[in-house]
Amino acid sequence: MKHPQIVVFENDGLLARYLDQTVERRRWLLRESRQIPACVNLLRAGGPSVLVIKLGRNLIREFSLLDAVHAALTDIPIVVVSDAEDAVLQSLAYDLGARYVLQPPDPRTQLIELVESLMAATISRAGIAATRVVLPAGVADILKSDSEEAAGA
Amino acid sequence: MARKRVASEPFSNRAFLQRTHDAVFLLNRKRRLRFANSAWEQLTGQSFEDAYDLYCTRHKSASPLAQTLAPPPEVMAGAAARVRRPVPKARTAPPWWDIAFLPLAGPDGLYGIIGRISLVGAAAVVKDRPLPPELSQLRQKLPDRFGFEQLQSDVPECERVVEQVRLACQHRVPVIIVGEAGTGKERVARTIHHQGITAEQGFVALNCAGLPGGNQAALLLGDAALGKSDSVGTVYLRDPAQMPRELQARLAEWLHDRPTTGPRIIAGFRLDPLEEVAAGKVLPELRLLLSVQTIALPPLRDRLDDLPRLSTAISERSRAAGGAGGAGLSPEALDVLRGYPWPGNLRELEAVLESAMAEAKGGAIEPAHLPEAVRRAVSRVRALAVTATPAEHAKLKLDQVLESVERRLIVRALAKAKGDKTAAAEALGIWRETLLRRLRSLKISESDWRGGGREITEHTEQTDKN
Repeated sequence: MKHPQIVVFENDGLLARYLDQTVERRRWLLRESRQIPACVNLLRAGGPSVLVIKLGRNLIREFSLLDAVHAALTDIPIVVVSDAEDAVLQSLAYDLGARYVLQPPDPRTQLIELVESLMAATISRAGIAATRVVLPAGVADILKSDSEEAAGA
Repeated sequence: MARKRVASEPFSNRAFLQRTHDAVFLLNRKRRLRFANSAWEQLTGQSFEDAYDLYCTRHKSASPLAQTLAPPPEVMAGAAARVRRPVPKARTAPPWWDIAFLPLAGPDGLYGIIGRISLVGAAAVVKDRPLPPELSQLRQKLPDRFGFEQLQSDVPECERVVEQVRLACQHRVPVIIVGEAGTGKERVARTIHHQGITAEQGFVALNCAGLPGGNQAALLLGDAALGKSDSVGTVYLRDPAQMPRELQARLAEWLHDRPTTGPRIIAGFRLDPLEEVAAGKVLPELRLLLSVQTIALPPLRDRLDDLPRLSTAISERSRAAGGAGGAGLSPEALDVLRGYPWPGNLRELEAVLESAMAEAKGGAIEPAHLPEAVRRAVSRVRALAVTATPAEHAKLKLDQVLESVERRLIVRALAKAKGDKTAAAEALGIWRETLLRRLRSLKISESDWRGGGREITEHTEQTDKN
């Protein structure tokens, strides 16, 4: 399985620094991106992912990314963080596919808690799609040789 | 005098706090729970008796509830504070809890702390001012993305689904969508929303699993709840079988009496709701009220004829989002995909194709580009399938299949270990005594493994015929 990752899309790098320890403790990768195509590529190429988008000055860009990721990678949970309370933008974010929209008071403290629970949930959800039974080594060997024989036949 | 009374009997006026609708609790100076009213019990889903003496700390080893109720450092220093915390055990917040902490200080320092919890939901879905045109355009694209053409199919079952979705778009009555994990229940719910008469309002998805009943109740049916909001067009309930029965009863009551202008409810079930009723997980009256219309989504393994169409759609979506896209599936790759059981359904198909497209670098997807796990699983399924003809295969019962697999593994392990039962048991990860018992039970003799296990196919066929 590819390494699980948190991808943060923001302008100033503050949220990434804020999440750094939490993510490292869980042995996930923390990746930052400031360009939409690069961000989508990171999500596409990585393992189980969580995307955090910080709403800043360029709302068009940030909502376009939200829209693009929800359209192409529907299973990735997206968290939108805003420093301003705005019900209209919150509504738009939900409609465009955000799973959570964090607004004042104290969106950053909420973010830590939420990202932790999302990391756990994302892994267990990814497990549904790729359920693997851990077999004793001997059994795995036998099955492997069976598959090889079948492929050879 | 009064102080003495407080020290010896901290809450003689409990009834006063019990009657309030606010969830209120009291911690002593050591942050241990000493009182909680019935509103608190309802919100947290825990009885005060069980939670008494709970040590409320942010330490990672503490329970989620203890972490949520832990006062911040400034409160311990004597200052009042208000914090927002996610609901314990909720992987799906919002809602959040806003907790106001009021320290009670005495001459010899902190006495205790009063906490009051209020629920913050996702109710701020309002549209009271127009969006800037560029953002408005993004919203206007949603009906295109969740259009009927995305659901088109050559499989008769799926054609029926499209017709049912079209019908659901014309009214606001509750709809049940049944389908295994990954079959696209939420996508269908969004299609109904964006193509239907609720499209101008918001779509809110609520995950019923993992949220305490009190929070679900407040979110759905409380004073400022989704169920009473004019700005919410559709509430999608993921897996309502996870709801507490008391809330199911309240929801059923609300559905029965609700005004015609409220949001429509769409419920997504993984299992047949009738089975959930039989298992005691869903109230019959709730199922009855939700199932005005029921849409059953077939699993991907039952619509393999759609694989080329689905892979084209996924490839186009990927290209539109700046991904590699692809030149389609080669016949060999399609053959492999047809042989895979797809336990994760469409969600798994998307993941597999995304990975294969990246490997193919824009060219046609060949078997070698597919994930190894998929190729191996197909090889295994086909290797086991050769032990019986299709007609016999259809007749096989699970016990027989498991028995033949077990027999095959044991014989191959013995052959590999050259008859050494201890080594074979070790390879299989079982005790030697267990292996001996299974040998007797399955009537495996030395002649079975002497030939390297090759005769097993014949033997299995014989057993199946018997």
